[in-house]
Amino acid sequence: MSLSMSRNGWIAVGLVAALQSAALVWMIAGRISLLKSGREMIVEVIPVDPRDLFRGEYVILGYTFSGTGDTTLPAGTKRGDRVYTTLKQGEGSKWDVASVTPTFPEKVDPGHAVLSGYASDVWNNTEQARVVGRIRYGIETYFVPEGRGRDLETQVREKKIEAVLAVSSSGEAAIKALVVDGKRIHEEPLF
Amino acid sequence: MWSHKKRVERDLARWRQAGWVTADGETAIRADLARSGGLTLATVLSMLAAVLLAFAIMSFVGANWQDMSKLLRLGLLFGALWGVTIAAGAFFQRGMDGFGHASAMLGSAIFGANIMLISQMYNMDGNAPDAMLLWAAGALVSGLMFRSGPTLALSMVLVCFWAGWETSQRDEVFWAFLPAWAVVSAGFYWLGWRPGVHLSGLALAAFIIFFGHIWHGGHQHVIVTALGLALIGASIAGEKFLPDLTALWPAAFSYALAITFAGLLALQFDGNPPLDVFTALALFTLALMLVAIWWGLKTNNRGALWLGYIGFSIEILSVYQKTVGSLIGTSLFFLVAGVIVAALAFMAYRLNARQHQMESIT
Repeated sequence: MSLSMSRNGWIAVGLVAALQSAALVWMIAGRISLLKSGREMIVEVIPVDPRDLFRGEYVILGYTFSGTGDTTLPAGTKRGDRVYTTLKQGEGSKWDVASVTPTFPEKVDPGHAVLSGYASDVWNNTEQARVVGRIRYGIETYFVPEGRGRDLETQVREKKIEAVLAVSSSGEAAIKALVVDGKRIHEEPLF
Repeated sequence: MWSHKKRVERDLARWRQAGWVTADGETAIRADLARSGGLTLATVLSMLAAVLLAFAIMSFVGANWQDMSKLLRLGLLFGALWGVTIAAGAFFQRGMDGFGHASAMLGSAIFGANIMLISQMYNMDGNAPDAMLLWAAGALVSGLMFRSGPTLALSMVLVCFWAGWETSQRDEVFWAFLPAWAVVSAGFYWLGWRPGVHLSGLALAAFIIFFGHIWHGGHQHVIVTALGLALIGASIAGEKFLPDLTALWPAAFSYALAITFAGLLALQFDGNPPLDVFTALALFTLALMLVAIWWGLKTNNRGALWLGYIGFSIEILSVYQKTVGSLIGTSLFFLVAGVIVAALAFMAYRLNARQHQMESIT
């Protein structure tokens, strides 16, 4: 290789660094706008592994609407397919699945919320002739500062945990903060 | 680069003795060789020093990461990206290409690390392969802009990881691999970087073999075998009709041979073919490997030669494992083994004769 012409060489440097930086800025900007302007909803969290909730530096979170094998997916759904889950509010912060559709529902009841996710596990319930599975929404892990995991684990044990989500109009969701016993912990600053 | 230098030095001595190169010319060529980079002790040591310093900085930043504000962390990430990219440019401008390639690659590695750290800082837990693809695209841009083969190689490796990850999440053939592969391969071709062409061949061969195991529930090995044979034919025809692409055809032959062999092996041992089909396939495989060894000797294609030997050995061992225990199987094995040993003896004889011939020429 040779960038023999010095001007072209520096243009290359600028383009590489600028394009790579633009990609990173695009990632951050998308997330910040989601956290800022997304619809806020508080949802109940089901600890995935209650004895080791804070493994190392991040928490693994499960939700009442993650699908545990009894959630009916659209017929023909394959692993990795995008799905849209319409949620209706139950008691307090408990949200239940109203329906799962392969496209964003055309009409959404004002009291409902739509989350976009993908089928992470799919299997056929042959007895009832339907497809069931598990759905991931990209809100299943939450990073906590290093060393705080153990401390939080004892705090959290046998307490009610909720997550504050920001949901965009297209169904994309992000975790804004965790709530333990009604108290917000770890609300990350935007910058 | 090293082997090229060594070879030129050897040739120089010969040309000088033959009187084709003057003493002045030889000195000038040697000086030019020394200038054109290559690995010297100083280069190697300074590269090691750079790695050590990078580790020192990384562990220092890591230890203080939690106490920094988000803005400071972002500043560090972007600063590292720009700093290393500018360093790459500076090295290339001074003709220090080795450092340039290393810095360009390091810059793209930092780009990937930044994607992960930003994902962690903002709790992004989306589809992880998407991040991999973004990383591959960043490395592709850098590889093309800096005309850096090693950076493009990083991009190809990332494309493979991306496709592998997506495949493991879906249980179906991930066709999007092909356009991504084609773009990076075109980059290698444009640069004329030979290791990259090999990487492309390897990646495509792996894709075709996986295709046979995944498409429509798997067991599509007939297609894989047919495709491999067609590619073997194409590489032989290419060598004949487009001999200008000297580097391409022997490599293409080797990868096509590997694809065909993988397809044949899967046809024989993945699933349970009837004995007559199995026998026919085994004999065909052995014959094909013999042809490959012969072709490798004839065209001086060392890759094909070794693949032929390795394929041959794997085939015998596999046939042995499968057939031993049943009476007819065992007798078949000894028959095949007998044919093989006879063939090997014949080949050894040919090889020997050929070497004698070569020695008498030089």
